Amino acid sequence: MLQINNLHASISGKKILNGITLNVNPGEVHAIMGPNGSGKSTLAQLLAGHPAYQILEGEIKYEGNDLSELEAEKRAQAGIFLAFQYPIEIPGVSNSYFLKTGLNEIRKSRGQEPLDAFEFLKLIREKMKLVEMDESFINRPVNQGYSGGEKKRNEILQMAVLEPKLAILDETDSGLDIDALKIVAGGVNKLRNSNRSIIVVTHYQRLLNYIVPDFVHVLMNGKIVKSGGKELALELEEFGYDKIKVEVENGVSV
Amino acid sequence: MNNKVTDSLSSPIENILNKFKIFSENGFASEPNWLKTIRENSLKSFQKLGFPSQKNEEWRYTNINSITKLNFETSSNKEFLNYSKQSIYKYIISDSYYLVFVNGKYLQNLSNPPKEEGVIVNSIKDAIKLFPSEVENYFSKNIDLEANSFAALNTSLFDSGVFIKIKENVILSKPIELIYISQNQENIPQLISPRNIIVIKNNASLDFVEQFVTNNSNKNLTNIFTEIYLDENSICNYLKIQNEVDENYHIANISVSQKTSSKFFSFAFSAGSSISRNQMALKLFGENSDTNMNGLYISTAKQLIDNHTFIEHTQPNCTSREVFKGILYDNSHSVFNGKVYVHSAAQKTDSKQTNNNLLLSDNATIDTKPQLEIFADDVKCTHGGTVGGIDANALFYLKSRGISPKSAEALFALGFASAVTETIENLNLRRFVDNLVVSKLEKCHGNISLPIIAHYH
Repeated sequence: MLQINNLHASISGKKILNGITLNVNPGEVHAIMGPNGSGKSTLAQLLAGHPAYQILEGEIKYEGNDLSELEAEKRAQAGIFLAFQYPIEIPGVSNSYFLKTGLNEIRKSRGQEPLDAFEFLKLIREKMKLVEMDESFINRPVNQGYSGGEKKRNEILQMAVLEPKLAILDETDSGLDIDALKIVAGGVNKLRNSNRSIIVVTHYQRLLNYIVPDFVHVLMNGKIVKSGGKELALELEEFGYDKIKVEVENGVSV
Repeated sequence: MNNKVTDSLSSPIENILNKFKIFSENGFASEPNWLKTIRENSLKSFQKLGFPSQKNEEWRYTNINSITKLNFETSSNKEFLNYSKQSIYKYIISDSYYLVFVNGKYLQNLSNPPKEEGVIVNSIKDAIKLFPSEVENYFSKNIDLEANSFAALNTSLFDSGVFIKIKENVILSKPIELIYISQNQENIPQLISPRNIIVIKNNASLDFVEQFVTNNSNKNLTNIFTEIYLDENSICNYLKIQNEVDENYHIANISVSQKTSSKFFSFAFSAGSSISRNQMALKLFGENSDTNMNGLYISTAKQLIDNHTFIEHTQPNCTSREVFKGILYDNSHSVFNGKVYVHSAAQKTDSKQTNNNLLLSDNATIDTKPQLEIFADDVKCTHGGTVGGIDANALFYLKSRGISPKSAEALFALGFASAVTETIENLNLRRFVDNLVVSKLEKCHGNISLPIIAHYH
């Protein structure tokens, strides 16, 4: 599904990623953990095609094709989805119209017929149940006036509607209380299947109690310094990032 | 060189003086003396002031040279027979009363004036004949004709327009819409000078629309002057739609007087004309009054769209809110100048003014000038303006959901616009404006289809 080889990238001349290599197969859930400033969000945004990031070296292959020259909308049409850490407010544009436009452009790119208003409404109502969202959000402006939890639920709703092949969840747990976290994680779990890959980017292990990953990677200074199974997250929770930092400095791990 | 400029400027003004002479010997001859005097004084004012130049601070950003060079004809006696119900259908806002004018001339057979109890609707000329002292009570009461040359010009020459009075305690069930169609007359630019007086008595309420459109290309100048008087505890919702074709000219003066506990809401949509100026002056005369003055302008090609507003707080405990938004394309130029003036007696004034502009072309120009003048010490007044392009993060967000950059930009612009059109309370009126916005943006962004905004639910 996704192969990242020796990826180096920068923003405004500042180097953030220093040689990331990662392989994600269909159906796998990978967690990328790391301290603040380690490059987690950069990786997430770069995969989704944010124009501010520059690839200096290495490559990203998605379904065997080079991703680096593809615009964000083409990536979305190809099945890549980013749940934003800070979802953007778009005043005056209703949630439903926003999502319908996106879905229909994605469908169009795949040669499918667009959904009409009625079909779309039926779809969005059904998907809203996954994240226990009130129907009033159908017509509310995108993210405007939403609480932190509502914004994150709205991201997962979009994921549910757009049905990506590769979903990247960027700190979807940040700012959520435990009840909201359970709802969001529950929504994600319902969307797990053998064809869909998910990358969960998070600072804390907490989310991974609910979205249990197949693999955990630790990112530091723009590089994956340790990889393992779900138990690695528990280890991090217990000993913190400092232990790994020491290991890395002493050349123990990698 | 100087002489030449003077020549080309003086002849259109002389032309106007001649028009006045002809009118005063015919059309105006039967009018009451008070009106004749006002007309003559107004003409003198206009003569003295001339057309405003950019040396005048109030016109600093607004170059109207192309208007001042035209020799206008005035079209009062022309009959317009080529209009059918079908040809005006698209201008009629659903579930409203409407009066149709072509180059200022009232077309009775196409109009649907209100027939409810407690509402008086007359042509201004009939009103002057039928109840002259009532008209006199409300005529030019809140404007300085010696300082406003277009209002003076209108006052000296007006021969069309309406007098509307909503009697005490009457809540009109539907909006009254005035549809002004500007039409090409043998390729001679017409000076169209409607004068409207709107009176809303105690505890009465009116939704009122002025819509300006064209059915063909022309260089006409519409120079309208509308006076609105809100009595105690009354409500007026005023919608202005300026959507004339891009060749012609539009100057509007709107003066509003508010008495105690009255509420005024206005929305000005400006998208037409080659040069247009929407000049609103509102005075809060009574305590506990509320004013909302909002608007949206979309300028394209080489259009110049100017919105000039003046809100004057003279009494305590009044609230004013103002939001104007603009979207600018191509080589267009828009001007926003909004002044809020708080007199020393107007304690506890609560005033907020905002002007946001979305610049979608490197060649477009915006001049924005929010102004506050405060002479009271216990007030809450803020103002601010923004000018910017499409937010890069918003664009990325939209694109990351599969939306093409072209649609994303259009959607962003639509969202920007609808965040202010949603302040129009009457849903029929809002829907009408939103439709105009959508079709305008679809044209500007090219071959995309936008939704009708979903803020009706």
